[in-house]
Amino acid sequence: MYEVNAPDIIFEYMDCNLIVIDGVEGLYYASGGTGAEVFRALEAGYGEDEICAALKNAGAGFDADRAVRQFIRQLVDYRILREAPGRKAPGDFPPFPADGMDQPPAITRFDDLQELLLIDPIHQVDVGEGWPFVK
Amino acid sequence: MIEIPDYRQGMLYFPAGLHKLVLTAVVCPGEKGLRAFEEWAAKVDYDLIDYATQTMMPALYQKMSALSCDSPLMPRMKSLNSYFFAKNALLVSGVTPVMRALSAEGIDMLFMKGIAALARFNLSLGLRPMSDADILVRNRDAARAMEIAVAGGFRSKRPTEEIRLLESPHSCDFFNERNIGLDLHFCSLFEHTGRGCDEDAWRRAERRVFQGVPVFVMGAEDHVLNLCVNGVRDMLVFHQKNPHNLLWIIDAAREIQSGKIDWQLMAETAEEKMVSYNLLYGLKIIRKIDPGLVPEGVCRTLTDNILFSECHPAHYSGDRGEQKSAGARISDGLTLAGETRALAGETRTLAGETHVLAGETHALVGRLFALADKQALSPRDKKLQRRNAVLEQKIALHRPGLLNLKYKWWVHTYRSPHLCALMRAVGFLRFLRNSWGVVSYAQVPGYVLSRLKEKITKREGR
Repeated sequence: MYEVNAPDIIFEYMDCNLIVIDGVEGLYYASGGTGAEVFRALEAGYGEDEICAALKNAGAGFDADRAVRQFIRQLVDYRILREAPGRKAPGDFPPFPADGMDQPPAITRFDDLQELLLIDPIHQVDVGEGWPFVK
Repeated sequence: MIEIPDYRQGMLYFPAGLHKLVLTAVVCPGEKGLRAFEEWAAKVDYDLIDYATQTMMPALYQKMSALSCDSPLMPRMKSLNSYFFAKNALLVSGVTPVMRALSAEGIDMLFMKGIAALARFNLSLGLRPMSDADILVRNRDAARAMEIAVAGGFRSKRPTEEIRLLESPHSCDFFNERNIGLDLHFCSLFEHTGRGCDEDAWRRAERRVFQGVPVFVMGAEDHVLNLCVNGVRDMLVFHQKNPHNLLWIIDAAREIQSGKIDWQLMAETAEEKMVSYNLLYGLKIIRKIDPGLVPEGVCRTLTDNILFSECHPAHYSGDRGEQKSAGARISDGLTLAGETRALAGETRTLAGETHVLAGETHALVGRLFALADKQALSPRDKKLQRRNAVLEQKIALHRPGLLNLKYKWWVHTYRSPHLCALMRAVGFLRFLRNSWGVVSYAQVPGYVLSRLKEKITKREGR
């Protein structure tokens, strides 16, 4: 089991996207689709096996076991999650949404948040992706 | 000619145009909000929105998302939401260690303004953009709190304690190496300082936990009062016509909509703190967005005590005991006697030739008293103080009519203590122009004639 490395890590879901801020290191992470949903399950207290099983049930078109393990390792390496051995799952695993789960979970890291904040969020960014994705 | 409210003294801004539409869209529920958004979206050139509008985009985005709005502007609004979330998250991460240290030392923290809105309603971090975190600590904890902030890597924005006292006697602005702002307040309002000035607010405060740290947030009435008085300051004091922060209107509306407000308590608190005019102006602005938010009768109960509540530094005094209303202060001569007022130099504000009277304020530490001692009044300053007291009495005893030129002249004289007679006379025309809210001098005669005509018509009608 894992938990979010609070209070250093602050995260938020915006629609189906996930934004994670490491306030201590000044890092910005973004994830969407499968990544955001897997993270939601991990921070709720579900374990690796339950998540993998749920992904397979949802008909994931990728190797769920391998992808989830890799994703979790990445989140731990980034100090977004930490291990929480005593934590228990809150109940039955809710099904993943039917759409948007065709790609393996991934998270994009931006190294200098302060520099990102210098990007003009109206004129310099990609209209579809939004800040901090530059045109 | 710009919009002229039914009473004024320094009021040069009311939300209008696109600002008003955005505020209406965010604040007003249901169909009215949606219609305002559609009108705004049809009129706005999104590439040209000003900073005040940008900061309102997260709230607008979340409101419209909840209404399943599919405007083409939604992705662009979402982009600003992500931007302000990241900015706020960085800010919160930066100030949390100081908050934790304050808490560990047993220093209570009372959140104000943006961070208070976030903590009070457990809002998403990006919903309420902030430039700094405003945290009130008790007077007695001020010195220790400042030390803790410094130990946490923050530095004061002002180079010396003396300059801080001149420019911001009620608080100390800090920033750290990442330029994260922390505004430690020792009094919640610039307009009302002194020992125990916020005791009632502390008593009514509610407990919350923010980032794992126990904190207090103001009770609903104190929160709205605080938002209004802080919110209108730029417009009232610095005559700013294009304020860059309108978020206080949304915060106050959220607070009013969330529960029952004891309006009488709020009015009494404003009177006690001598900020009833400021509150009145703030509430009128909120009514402009949604008249249903503030009962009309509330505005009538608030005293128009602008001359004493206006955050003109000359009105900043160091009452250390009971706080009195403007009228009481005049009648018992407290404006003159018994107050140690140290004339401390010219302010760097737009207000111009005003002087800051920084007396025995919040008795932070010994060095503040030492400062006050250093600044004894010169004979010239004493004369000026006597003259101001006479003017204050005259002003307080007369009706502030729009065409009461004698009254206007006194106010103008009061505000320009160091001008010679000629310069004061020349400046009077500018003062009239500003106080009547006309754009050019050429409009002054026309404005006077129209008001005279209005007055005569009213008199004939009676």
